[in-house]
This record gives sequence, C-alpha cells and structure tokens, in this order.
Amino acid sequence: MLFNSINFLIFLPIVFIIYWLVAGKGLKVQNILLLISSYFFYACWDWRFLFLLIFSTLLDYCTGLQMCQASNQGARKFWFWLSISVNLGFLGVFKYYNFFATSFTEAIATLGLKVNPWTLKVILPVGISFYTFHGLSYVIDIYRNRIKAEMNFIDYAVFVSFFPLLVAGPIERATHLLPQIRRKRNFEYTKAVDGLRQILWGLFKKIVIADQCALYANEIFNNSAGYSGPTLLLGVFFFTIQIYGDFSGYSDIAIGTARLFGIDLLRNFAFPYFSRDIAEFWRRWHISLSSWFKDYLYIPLGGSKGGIWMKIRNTFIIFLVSGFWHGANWTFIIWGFLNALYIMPSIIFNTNRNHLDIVAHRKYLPTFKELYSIGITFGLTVFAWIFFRAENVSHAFQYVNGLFKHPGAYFLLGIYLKYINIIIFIMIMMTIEWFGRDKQYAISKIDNRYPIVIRWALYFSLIGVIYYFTSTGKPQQFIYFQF
Amino acid sequence: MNRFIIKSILFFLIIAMAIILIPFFFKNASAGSSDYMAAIIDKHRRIDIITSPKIILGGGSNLAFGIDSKELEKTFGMPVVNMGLHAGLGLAFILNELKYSIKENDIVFLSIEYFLDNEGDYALKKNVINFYRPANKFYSGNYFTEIDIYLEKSQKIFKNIFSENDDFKNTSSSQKAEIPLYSRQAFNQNGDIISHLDKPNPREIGGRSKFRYQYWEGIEEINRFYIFAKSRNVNVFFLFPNFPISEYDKNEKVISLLETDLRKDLKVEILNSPNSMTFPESYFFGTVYHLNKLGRKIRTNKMIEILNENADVQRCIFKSRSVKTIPEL
Repeated sequence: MLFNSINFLIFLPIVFIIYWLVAGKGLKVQNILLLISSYFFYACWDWRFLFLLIFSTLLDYCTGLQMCQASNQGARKFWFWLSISVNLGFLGVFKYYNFFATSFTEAIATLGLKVNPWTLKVILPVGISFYTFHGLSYVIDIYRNRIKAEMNFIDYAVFVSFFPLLVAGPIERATHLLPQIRRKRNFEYTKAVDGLRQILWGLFKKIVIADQCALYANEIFNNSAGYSGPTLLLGVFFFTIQIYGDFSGYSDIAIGTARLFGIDLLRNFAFPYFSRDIAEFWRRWHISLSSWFKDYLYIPLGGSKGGIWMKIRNTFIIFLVSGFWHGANWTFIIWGFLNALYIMPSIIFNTNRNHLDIVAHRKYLPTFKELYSIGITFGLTVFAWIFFRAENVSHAFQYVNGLFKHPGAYFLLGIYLKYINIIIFIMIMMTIEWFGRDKQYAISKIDNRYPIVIRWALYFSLIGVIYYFTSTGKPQQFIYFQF
Repeated sequence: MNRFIIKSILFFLIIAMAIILIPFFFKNASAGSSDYMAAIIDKHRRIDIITSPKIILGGGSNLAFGIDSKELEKTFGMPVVNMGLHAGLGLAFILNELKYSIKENDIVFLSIEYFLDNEGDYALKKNVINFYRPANKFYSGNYFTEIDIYLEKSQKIFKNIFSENDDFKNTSSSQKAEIPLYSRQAFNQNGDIISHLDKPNPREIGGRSKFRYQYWEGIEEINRFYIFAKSRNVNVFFLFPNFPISEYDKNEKVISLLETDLRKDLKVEILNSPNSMTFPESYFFGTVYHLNKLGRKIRTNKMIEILNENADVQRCIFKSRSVKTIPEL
C-alpha cells in the first residue's frame, strides 16, 4: 500500500477514526490497534514477509529481555551477538547474497577460473533495511545500558512496525519513540492539522516534482548514449531533484501521518540542497540514517578521538557502508566513496561544524559567498548522484563521458526550453522551500496567522496541482522502498 | 477532536464534490464512437461473423500496427482477424477476450509485448467497456477498481480543461486534421491499422525503456489460456514481437533471460527468437512496437516465412483448412 495510492487514502481515515474515537480511551487499545493496522499495512505489500517481520520483532524483543536478565557478561554477549548476527544474516541473504555471489565469481574469473554462481531468485522484503536497523539500535542500546529492555511485547512491536515508518523510515531510536508509545496519546488539534499539512507538502513533492522529474531522468539515463552533454546534465539534475522530492516527500508524509496519531518521528530532511558544504549536507540529508551510522558505527570505531588518521579512516568506513546499505551494487559504493572524498577537506581542516546554523537566517536572500558555497555543494552532490542512479559502473562512466560530448550545445537555449515546464515547477518548489527553510517543513508557516480563506485556497491549489499530476493507473513507487 | 473532524469532513467533501462533479460539467474529450478504442466493436463483429476455422492474432498494438492480415489470408487461404488493439489493456484482458471469441479449429498466434503487465490500465479497460459492453467480462473488477476508474475519468477530464488531450503525443495536430491516425477509422476490415502507412515517420520513437528482469507472470496466464484453448480444440502459437535493434541490444540480457523462462515454462510452442523480429529504427512509427509501411511489410513476410517453416503450424493450417466448415446459426 503506497502513501500515494487510493488504498491508503481509504486506509488512513479509517484507522484514524477508530484510533481516536474507539481506541482513544486506553493506551493498550491504542497500541493494539496501531499494531494490527501496521501489520495489515505491511501485509498489503506481501503477506509472506509479515512472518519475517514478526520473527525479527520477536527475536529482538526476546534477546533484549534475555540481555537484561542475564546474570553475567558472557550471557549478555551471547544474546547480543545472536541478535546482531541473525538480523544481519537476514539482511545479508535477502539483500546482498546475489551481489556477493556474482562479485566472487567475477573476481575468480579474473584469475582464469570458472565458477558457476549459485544465485537465488530472492525478492527483497520491503522495508527490511529499515526495520532491521530499528531492531539493531534497540539491541545495541540495551547492550550498552543506555536503555532497559521493553517488557511489553505490543509496545515493542509497535516501535518496530509503526506503519508510517515501516517501509522507508525515518529510522527511529528506542530512546525517542518507545517513550511515546508507552504514553497514552491525547488528541491535539494543532498537531493533527500540522500533520495533514505536512502530508500535503509531501504529496506535492512526490507527485508533482519527483514523479515528473522521473519521467525525464529515466528517459535520459536509460538512453544516455544518444544524448548530448547538456541533456545529460539536465538528466542528472532531474534525478537530483527527483530523489529529493521522492524521499523527502515520503518522509513528510510519514512524519505527518504519525503526527495524526499523536506521535512525533525523527526529522529526516532539513533542506539539504541549501547546504554550504558537504558536512552540512550530510547533517541535512537522510538525517535518521546519518545519525544512526554516527552513533552505532562511527563512534564505536573510535570516532574522532584517535587523531586525524582514525577520523579519516572512520569517515571512509561510514560512507562506504552507507553506500552499501543503499543497495548491492558497486555504484552505491562509489557514491559513498565520492561523498567521503568530498567531506575530507572539512575533516582534515576541522571545518565540518562550520555551518550549524540556517543559511541566510532571517534574510530573504543569501550573500554571494553563501550562494557560491551552495552552488559548489549542489554541483558536487549532483555529480555523485550519477553513480547512484546509473545501472552499473560502466554506465556511470559512460554518462560522465557523455557530459563532455558536444560542449557547444551547452549554449543552445532550445535544449533547456524543452523542459521548461518541469523546470518552472522545480523553481516554485525550491522557492517555497527557501522561504520555509527555518521550519520543520516548507509550508508549515501557513498556520493560524492567515485567515481560513487564504489557507484553504492555498491547500486547494496544491491539491489541484497534485490531482492534475497524479498518474493514472498504478501510483509511482517511492525510490527508497527498494532499499 | 469534533472541530477537527467537522473541518476535515467539510474540506474533503469540497474536494470529493469537485472530483465527482467534474465529469458532469465537462465533456470527456476522448469519448465518441470514432475513438481508437471503439475499434473493438468492429474487431468483435468480424470475429463473430466469420465462421471457423480462422487465424486469430492476439496481442497489443504491435499487431495492429505491424501486420498485413490480408497478406496472411492470401498465403494461408484462411480468414484472418487481427485482434491487436492496445497493450495497455493488459495480458489478462487480451487473453480473456480471446477465450470468449475462439471456436473449434481456430489457430491463435499470440504476439505479446515484452513483460506485458497482467492487469493493464483500468481506465483504458473502462473506456473500452463504454464502447463495447461485453468487454466487462474480460476483466475482473471490484468495487474499489470502479471508484478508481471513476477518479481516473474525472482526472482525465480535469487535465483536459487545462491542456490538450495528450494521450497520443506522437500525433501532431496537422496530422490529426488530415486523417485520424489513432481512430476507429484507422483500421481496415481485418483489424489492421492502415491510416499511417503513407505518413512520414514521427521524429521520435516513444516507449523506449530499460527492462529489469523479473519472472514474467504472463507465462502462467498464457499457459492457462493454452489449456482452455486446447479443450476447445484450438491451436495456439507464440511469437516474439517486433522491436527496434537498438532497443533489443540495450535489453538483450533481460530479454534472453525472459526467453529462457519462456522456453522452459511456456506450454505454447514458440515459433521464433526475439532477435528474429528486430528491425532498424527506420522501420518504426512513433513507438518501439509500431511499424511503418516498410517495417510492416517486412515483418509480415518474416512471419509468413516462420509459419511456413514450422511443421506444426503447417499441420494445423492443413488440418483446419480441410475441416468442412458448417455455417453457424
């Protein structure tokens, strides 16, 4: 069930009404309802993988309890590693087995030996990377005595499988979400309205921006050999906007939906394309994953305590792992590597925390220097997205080569005018985002300060545009569902 | 809570009313008996009138735009009905349509577009049903799909208010004015499109895509159709569709995996290989499955050659031709 499908449009109000009107009286009933609806939501993708989700939940719940009740460190260690290895084992089989088998065969082939790779026709269970990371963070936090194990299975199961975040995050922490699940939620009008507004903005970014950009980006990437440099540049620009609109749109819908149920999820995006350097970009892009890697990988590896070389090594490790997390393909690893390279100057010169504030705060426009920094950062990320989007490494390099084909064509206005409609929509979105960049999401400013007529007129206009661009037939998938 | 619910109901009621009322206030631009999809009426009229045995071509628009059925008739001495209309209807629809139409001793040649979706586009199917009521038997709808279809219809009209109908972007306005390329009148008696034969090729070829391999669910669907056809004493054969060489090269790996699956699991005899039906881009008209005059001629000749070389096909044709036909009442 996709957030942008008619099924979800029916599912959400039903669950909402039952949740507040019927189950709203007691915490236990609220959580049971959330769990049932989350499992139903997940089963709509593929009911067979529901068993995997339940198994994974049970495993982490039981190992968490066992760790807390363990009489000695050895037993704690045993239960900890059992959970880690089973969780990563599932991820390895479902997501990476074929990649390793094929890569191994190719490596052997370079030595002149022939091995038949035994590849499986494995379907990737939707959301596996996300709920596995939920479970891992919970188990690691217990092992490190940051939290106590959750005794109530229902509460823990809701933490893992709460439907707005189940398939593509934000990747939650037990320390943030579990206390909210344990507490009875009372209906808050402003929170619910804000949730709906955020859903609306998320749908706009997904349907109007991302899905339209996808049409052009797919066409250009799939036929890159036949296009000249400027069109290829536009292709990767469209993909850059597509992936932002798609994933931040998804996150807005997820966060907005959770707010309808009185739950606050972690922020996932904070206007990353207005970043002034790569370090700032990574503090603003897929925040829940970046901070997960920081807390559960970078810091345990020693973080920045062991001198500059350790800092560099650890930075490369988290970016390579982050790339690999996105998918079993060398293109993602190169994408991670590129980002690690980009961030190196600020790591070496210790400038990675230079831009912790909001760009051009309380000003309408950025300074020339800020604009220049934003442009450079944006350009670097655009280049890295080529590797993220390409089918394979050779396709990526062929694409990069193509950018230098017919350089004179870069000055032909006609090439850009061909895509003027979508470019206008992108500019509108970016302008709205710029003026809302000091908020959680771009249109959160449209609150009670404005008369209802103006607010509703704006909402109806947005809905009209979304309705216009909604694809007939099957709704478009979200990119991050494949991860 | 009450305030929120009342306001939400009011808000969504306004939207719902707008969506529901759009079709009542604005005319659906694509409606009308000259619509491309209305050709289904003529195709069924022909398939119902002609007594069996006959040759039936089943598939999407690759057949409508890519076969000279009269040439097949001449060669094999049997009537030919080209049922190819639109791949967007989905494989299930196409095969169900054939199930209701085939009769004993007929020979069916399936030429299905690569990885054709089983379900197809509901709005398109609904559009077809508007023209040809019996077509509602060809798909399994439910309450939700009916709502879905209505919403799509409303949306289509909403879009038409703000822009021209962009269903067939390859058709320029001047071409539309001259001769309706994508209309019911574009088909000949056999069900082949002929309106485009003397037209210059559109500048671009649409429908290019990079396939991602996955086991094609259509194999099971075709096998079920095959069992049904066999029980009616109807012979079924499978042919890979026409495709531009450039697109084939790009997708060769995936297509060869599909071919392996088909050769392993398909119960229907496969008469050709995918690359035997690949042609230069200059033979195509507007999309990767539509052929122009030259492409259509070459593909038809190629198909005749393939059918002539296959002993099973020859046996079937011979057997069907020798059946003493009894006019149906």
